[in-house]
Amino acid sequence: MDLEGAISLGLDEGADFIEVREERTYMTMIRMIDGVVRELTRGREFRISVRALYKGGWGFGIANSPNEIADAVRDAVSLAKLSSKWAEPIEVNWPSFEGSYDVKGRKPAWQTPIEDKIRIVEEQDRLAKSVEKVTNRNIVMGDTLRETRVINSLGTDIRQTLPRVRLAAYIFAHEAGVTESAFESRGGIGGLEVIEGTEIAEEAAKRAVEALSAKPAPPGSHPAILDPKLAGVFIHEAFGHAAEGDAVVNNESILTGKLGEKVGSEVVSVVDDPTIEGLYGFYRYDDEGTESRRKYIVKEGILSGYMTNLETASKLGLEPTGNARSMDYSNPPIVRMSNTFIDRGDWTFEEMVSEMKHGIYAFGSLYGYTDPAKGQFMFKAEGGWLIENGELKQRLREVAITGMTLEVLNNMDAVGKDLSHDPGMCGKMGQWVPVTTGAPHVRVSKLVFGGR
Amino acid sequence: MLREEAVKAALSSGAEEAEAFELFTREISIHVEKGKVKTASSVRMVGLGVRAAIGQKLGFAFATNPSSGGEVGREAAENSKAAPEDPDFRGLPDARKVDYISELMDPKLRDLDLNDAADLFLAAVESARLSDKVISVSGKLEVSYSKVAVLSSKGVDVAEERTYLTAYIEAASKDGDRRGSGFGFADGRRLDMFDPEKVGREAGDLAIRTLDATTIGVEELPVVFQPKAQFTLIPFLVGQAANAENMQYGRSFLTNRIGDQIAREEISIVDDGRIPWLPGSSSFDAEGIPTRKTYVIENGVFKSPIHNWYTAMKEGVESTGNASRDHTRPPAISSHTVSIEAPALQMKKDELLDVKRGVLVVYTMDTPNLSTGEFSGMAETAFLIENGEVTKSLRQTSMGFRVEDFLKTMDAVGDDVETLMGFKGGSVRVRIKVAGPGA
Repeated sequence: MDLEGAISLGLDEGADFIEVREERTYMTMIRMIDGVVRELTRGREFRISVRALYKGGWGFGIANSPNEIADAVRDAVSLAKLSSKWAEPIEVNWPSFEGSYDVKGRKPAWQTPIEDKIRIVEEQDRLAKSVEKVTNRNIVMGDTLRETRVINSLGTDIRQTLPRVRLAAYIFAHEAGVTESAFESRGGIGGLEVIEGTEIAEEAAKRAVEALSAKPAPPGSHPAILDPKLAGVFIHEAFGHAAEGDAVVNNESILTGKLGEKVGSEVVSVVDDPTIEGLYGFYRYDDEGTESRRKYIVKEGILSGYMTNLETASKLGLEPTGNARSMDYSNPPIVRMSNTFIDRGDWTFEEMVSEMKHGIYAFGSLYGYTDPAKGQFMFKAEGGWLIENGELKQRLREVAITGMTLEVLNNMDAVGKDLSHDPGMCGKMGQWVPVTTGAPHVRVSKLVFGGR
Repeated sequence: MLREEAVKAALSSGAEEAEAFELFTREISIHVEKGKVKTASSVRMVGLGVRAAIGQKLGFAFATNPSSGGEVGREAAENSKAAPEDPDFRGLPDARKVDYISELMDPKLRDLDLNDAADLFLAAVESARLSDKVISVSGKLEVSYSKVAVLSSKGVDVAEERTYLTAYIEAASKDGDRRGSGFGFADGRRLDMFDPEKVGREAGDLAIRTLDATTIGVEELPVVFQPKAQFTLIPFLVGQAANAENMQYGRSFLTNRIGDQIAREEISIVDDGRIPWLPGSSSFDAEGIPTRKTYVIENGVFKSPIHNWYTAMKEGVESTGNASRDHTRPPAISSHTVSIEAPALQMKKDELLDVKRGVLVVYTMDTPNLSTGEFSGMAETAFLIENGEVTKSLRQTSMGFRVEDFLKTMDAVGDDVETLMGFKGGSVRVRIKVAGPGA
């Protein structure tokens, strides 16, 4: 059965709305440890998923081949009928989209011989090896090509092809009984040109060596400067997730009911923009087929929008922003971020440091998480510097920050000019999608640091 | 069968050795938002991962929902031709005798239909609504049935069925401007390991108790970690720090520490892959090697890392049966179920709280730093203990310590044993530094 036939069958079975998505993914991964290729993988995935809505209840089914589509449609509709026993009605007054968009890239990774990719990884390994005191080098390069088609009973029909490339280095250094590590990555939409000319392994190696002389961060409350990576992860995790339409609709967000209200200092503007070509979180159409667009979530301290999919937009009385995404087509699309960042301000990093009598400069990001209901967050930086009298004095390790999201946004009193973006994977409800986080350097008048 | 086709095709394409890992999964799930069923889902998937070796050159290929195994086997063989030599690769795993565990597949869980699953899960959702202050309850129930098989040209030929259930409930609370949240969680391989009322009540109770919050300054205090606050700490010690790959490459703070006293002598830490019905249990690992019980720390002394075949062969020892993977990646190393054995430190749960001033940590998501063994993170859900009583909820509370100090200052282990996320154990009490913005 073809996808159009599936739509007709779903409507015949009684669905109020039916959507069919088909996905083919091809990927290569090379993992090199200390100069030895430990993993050389090629893989392919094929999925067709069907989502049906019946009186407010959603059903979701999977076909592993075109022969199974009719069964998947019947499954999805019967599951939607099951869900509807407990569901609230949903009005299907959503817009539809038609179009196609293919990114090819100047040097398509999927057409590049595996030997050439191994050479790229070897070059990074060589760069890291040249740095003294480095004891373990881990270089990973991955590329994917994802071809998708989304059609639904409202007339949406979208085809999209997106190639992604990412190169990452995780480097360890050791001296006098102390081991430290650093991580760096580059990636984006397109071909191998995305990672050309990068020296990420050397950057990570130098930072790992630098960390060997670090001291644990002093615990307690301090003024702080966050680098673009850490500020970017903060705005994504602590604020971005709270601005996702599902959390807002479900009253599980500190931002529910706050549209138009002041949520941060006037120097803060936050943008989610899937349309920036080349960035890792780029897409022209989201996984419901909605055309993506740039939008301000916060404009000069005022909450000016949420990120939505078809359903949450309708419930909030807003336009869908094209933020429905799924990890792969064995998962239903949910509201997700894309390329999310703090917009640039007018400070330089040097001005921020020179004006600080005492504080901590925290940089890099290992991981972070947030509780959007309480508005509490924790982020682990890769490292930091103690600032005394306008100078970076002592390298710090174990730099972890905690706080309440809205307090920190209100305490943000300087935003830099130097906006930059970082590729990463964002997890929510077991689904991981490619995103970028971004920010310039930012200054916060007080932040709680962990430590011992 | 896919795995047979794959191994045969890899060998006929020039591979000297070949191994296929085949995974069939059928999963149903119920996703609840704001107290209502949002989506009911039914998913099936077949995954095939193939390793092929020529001498010391190893290639890997995988496919999700392949129409045949042959193409994947051939691609793995081609990849092995393109791969540079790995001097530490000593061949794919040999066959070992596997004693099958019967308590891994619960027919009731396998046959659970979505209607019954929804009723069960909604009972948990209802149990979370302890008062009007609980404004939203969300969560997900996932139930899966899988068939896992490993077949190789070296004689490995193992297969078994497993069931798995995971349920979590999140409750959000509000009282005026005050907000709180709580969660409940359960996992296991048997249907009756999910007690809906207990999981829901736990989420609702925490959501209400966290409304009334305070902060503290920088203090060194007795801190009690409940079981849910340990699953990112104790399993990390085994699965990451004592992971043979991390030790062999010098990434772990436990590198070159075998034989060292790293915990007080009353404490042993074990990894066990054979405890009936636990999610970390299986008869064989992802390479077909039988699982077993491994003393990682015995009487305070670091005794053994955990291995897969590659790392074990590199050191000339037996694999501990800790290879793990899905079909999309070659085997890595993971712990099974990690627990603390410390009978001399055992006491009643309530006796652990008998301190003048301390902190009770219910939940943290943070892990220690692999290379330094230091922990610096947040007590995500925590309470103040005053004169033996649990009082206010704590916000913005950080904790910092060395893992060795955690294990050496541990003076009590509670009898409130829970199993979750690869951890089995009761509360523990340690003395560490905590930091907040001030009282």
